Amino acid sequence: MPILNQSFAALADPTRRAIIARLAEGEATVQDLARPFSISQPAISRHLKVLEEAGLIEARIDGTARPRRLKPDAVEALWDWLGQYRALWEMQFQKMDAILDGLSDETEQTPSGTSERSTS
Amino acid sequence: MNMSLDMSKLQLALDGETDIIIRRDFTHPPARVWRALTEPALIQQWLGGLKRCEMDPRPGGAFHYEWDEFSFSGPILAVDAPHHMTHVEHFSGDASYHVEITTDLAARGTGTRMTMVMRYANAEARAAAIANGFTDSLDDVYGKLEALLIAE
Repeated sequence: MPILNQSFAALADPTRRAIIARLAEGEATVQDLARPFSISQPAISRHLKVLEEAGLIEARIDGTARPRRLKPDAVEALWDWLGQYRALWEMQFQKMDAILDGLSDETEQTPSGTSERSTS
Repeated sequence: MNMSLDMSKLQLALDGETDIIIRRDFTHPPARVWRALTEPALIQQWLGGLKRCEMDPRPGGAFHYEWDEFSFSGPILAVDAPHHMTHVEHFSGDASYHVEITTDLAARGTGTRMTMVMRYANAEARAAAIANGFTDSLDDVYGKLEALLIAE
C-alpha cells in the first residue's frame, strides 16, 4: 500500500493535518490556507505539494488560481486505513469499563442529576 | 508505549453517505451502562477534563459537556431507559454543526452491546468530522499507528 504509507508520512506533520482539516470544510487557495498559520505562502505550498504527492488533495485550475481540495477517494481510503483511529474510541470505552466495574448493585438507586466536579 | 490495546470488542464503520456506526460490547448489563452514559458524576469520570457536565436524559431534556476550549451540547429527542436514547450534538454552540446520535443498549448474555449511529448532515460534514477527528486524535495515536504499520 505505497500510497497509504505516503499518506501516513504526509500526515506526520501537524500543519499538514490542520490543512487537511481545513480542506475538509471546502476548497481553499494557498492564501486562504496560509492565513491561519504563522508561516509563509511558499512554506504552505511545500506542504501542499507533499499532500498532493500523497494523493490526499488535488488542485483545480480556476484562471490563475489553483484552489486545493480533498480528493474524496483519499478520505475514504484514510478512513479504512485509520481503522486504528478506533484505538482512541476504545481507550475511552475502557475508561467506561473501569467505572462500570466499580459500580455495585447497592448503588443502583443513586439519584441522577448530580454534577459534582471531578477531582481527577 | 502500551501496544496491547484489545480492540476486539469494538467495531466502527461508515454507512451510506452520512452515518458512522460504532458498536462496543460491555461486560455489564444495560442498566449499568446506562448509568455511566447518563449520570453526570459518572460521565465526568470517563470523559475527563470537563469543567461543566449536565445531562437530563428525558425527551425535551438537554445535555452540555464543556471543556476549557470547546463544548458539546444539544437537545435530547427520545429516551427509553435503559435501552435507547436519541440526541442531537452541536459543537461549541454552533447549530450548523448538527449530528443526530442514536444510542441503543441491547442485553447480550450478561453484558451489553452498545450501538451508536452518528448521522451527519451530509457527506461533506461527515468527511470533515473524520478529518477533524484524526487531526485531534492523531497526536495521541500516531505512535501506535506507526508501530502497527511498521509491524505489517
